[in-house]
Amino acid sequence: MSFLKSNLKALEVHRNSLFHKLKDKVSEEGYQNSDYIQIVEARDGTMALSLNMKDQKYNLNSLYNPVMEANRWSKQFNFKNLSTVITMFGFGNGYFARELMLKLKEKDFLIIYEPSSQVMVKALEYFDLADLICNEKVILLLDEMNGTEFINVLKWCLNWMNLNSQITCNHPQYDLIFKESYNSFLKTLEDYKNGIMVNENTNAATSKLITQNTLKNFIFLKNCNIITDLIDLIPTEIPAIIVAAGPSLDKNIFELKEAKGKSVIFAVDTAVKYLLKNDIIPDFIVTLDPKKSLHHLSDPRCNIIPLICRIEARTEILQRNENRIIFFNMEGYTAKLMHEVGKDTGWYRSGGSVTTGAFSVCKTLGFRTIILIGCDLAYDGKSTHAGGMIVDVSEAGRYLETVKDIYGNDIKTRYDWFIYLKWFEEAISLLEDGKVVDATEGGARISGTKLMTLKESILQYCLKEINVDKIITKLPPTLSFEKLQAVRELIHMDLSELIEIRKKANNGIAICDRLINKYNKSIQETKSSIDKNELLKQINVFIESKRVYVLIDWDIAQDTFSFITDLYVRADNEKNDKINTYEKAKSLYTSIVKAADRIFPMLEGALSGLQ
Amino acid sequence: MDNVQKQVDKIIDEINNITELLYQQKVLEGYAALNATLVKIMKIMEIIGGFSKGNKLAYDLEQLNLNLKTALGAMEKKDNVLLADILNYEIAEQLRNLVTK
Repeated sequence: MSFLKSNLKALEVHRNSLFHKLKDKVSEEGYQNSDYIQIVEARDGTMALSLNMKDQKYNLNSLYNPVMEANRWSKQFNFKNLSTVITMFGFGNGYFARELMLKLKEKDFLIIYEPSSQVMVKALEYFDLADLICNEKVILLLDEMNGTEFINVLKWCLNWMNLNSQITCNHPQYDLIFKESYNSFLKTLEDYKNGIMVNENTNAATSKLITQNTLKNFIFLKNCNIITDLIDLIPTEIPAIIVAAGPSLDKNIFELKEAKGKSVIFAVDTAVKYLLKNDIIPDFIVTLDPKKSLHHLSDPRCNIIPLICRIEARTEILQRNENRIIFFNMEGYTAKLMHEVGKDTGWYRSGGSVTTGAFSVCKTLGFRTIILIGCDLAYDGKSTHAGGMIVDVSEAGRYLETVKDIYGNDIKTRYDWFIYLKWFEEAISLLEDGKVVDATEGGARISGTKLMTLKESILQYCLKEINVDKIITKLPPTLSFEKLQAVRELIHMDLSELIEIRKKANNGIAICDRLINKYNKSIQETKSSIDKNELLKQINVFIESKRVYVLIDWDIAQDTFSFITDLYVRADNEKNDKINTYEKAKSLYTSIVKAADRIFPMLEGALSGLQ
Repeated sequence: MDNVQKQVDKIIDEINNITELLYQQKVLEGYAALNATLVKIMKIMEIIGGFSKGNKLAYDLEQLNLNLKTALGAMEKKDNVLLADILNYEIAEQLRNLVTK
């Protein structure tokens, strides 16, 4: 059987979708006549690949001993860490990829992005690639066939815990031959990694405040709703309008009066003051930031507007509300309690900003038309917000990206906005039904949206009347008296379990101390050290199995952030590795004890608030 | 002669190291190391040239010179893999043979 046949057979069995896309290419004339790709015989008799492009010849392999070259090339990469993800640009004829594949450990992955389908077809014809094709740890992406999957593959393999174990490399010469594609590959990877860090830094920085606000806000569970209560109550043919506070809001805010009562207006917290200044009362205020400045909602009229918020939102904002509090994106401990009493809190991707959060709410409620205004996601001159305001609140704000504006010109955006822009584009691409209209009339181009002025979109979509106030007034709270009683009992139980967790964690600290002492003398395992490790496993299982541990897990995120990112990174010798592991475990148990001490009185307070 | 043997062994070690750097695309490091090693190769060729008058070594030295020129050509074309190949499979091999002879 020829290499082409056996490789295609392997593709058909192991990568069926890629097989169907590739098999047609194999017979295409352009692919058959790809003369610029040459197969040459190396001195040792093996085959090598060379490309003639732009009057330059590029040898992709050694012309003497290609396999030895690939082996020596691969020695520069260290696979000692756990969960290593190696991302390689260029497949070539597979020699280099194979050397990396042979080094993969149990939880490692090799992602290969090949920019040229013609090179791939040639490689399938002349080289035996079956081992690479059949290996499940090797993920093969071909630019024009499944290249768009790159970001999804990264999401699947790479997270903040194994970010420091990640390796990026390129097939020799590919960085020169496919320069543009290589830069785009690197940018996608960097954007993804930065996105992870932005999210985790935000989580770590606010983790303690989140626990504190969440428990303080438990008191509002008595008369609140959760967003899933609203599903099917608001007609989805009425458009939703999300009002963000970007600088373009000044251009068309006055038009919004025409949409009141013919749409459902969701104002993000920072935009509310501009609406009220124009005497436009939104149907909902959306807020999620646990430390949002109160001045955004200082107008007394804010207090009579239904508030959609996350459970960890700033407590004072919830305290002021005299209408209805509707929680969205409930997760962690609160979601677990709700599920225990039979309430579905839904699943949302809030995207990290209040505007992306508002979009998630609209998506959850099933609106078929979502209109965005004030959603610039870019600078307008130096202004970041409506009213000519300049706000630079984020660490990420120091970094600028260039994107296209709605007219196709280059425009500067802040790095965190760039991440939100990408979030919007992805969320819109995943919409099964419905459309998103960008009526911002400025700012970054959000692909997937329909560009219209606000005036045009109101004329086209805001055609039916709706009274949101009436719907909300009639809506009963999520938790009945009986359900509330059940929640109280669950919290009572969790208070006892917090005490148990604390005891177990203290026990864990003592065991870690003994093991560190032992491994400092000798790393040879003994019956006693094996038993102690078994005890640690049991402690971990006990702690993690408890519902209330979710609160602890959040609370300690700030303490554990730095060492979790290095969790999979290995030192150069076994003794240091062992000692590091138990030092980290000891720090973790210490953080758990401290968190349990902090959380206990807060949870007691939450319980008494629900009486 | 023992001293020449030791110097050639050292050069071959250095060539081995340069080859690895170039295969690994560590071009700047590789070129820096190559500059130093080229000077050593020239010196050793001068020494061996002293022994070569009228015998077969002259032909071998000529071949070594030719390969050094090819290596420089590869450098000009920025074909670093070819440069590494010539250093490793031609020049190092010829140096080894010269000393043996």
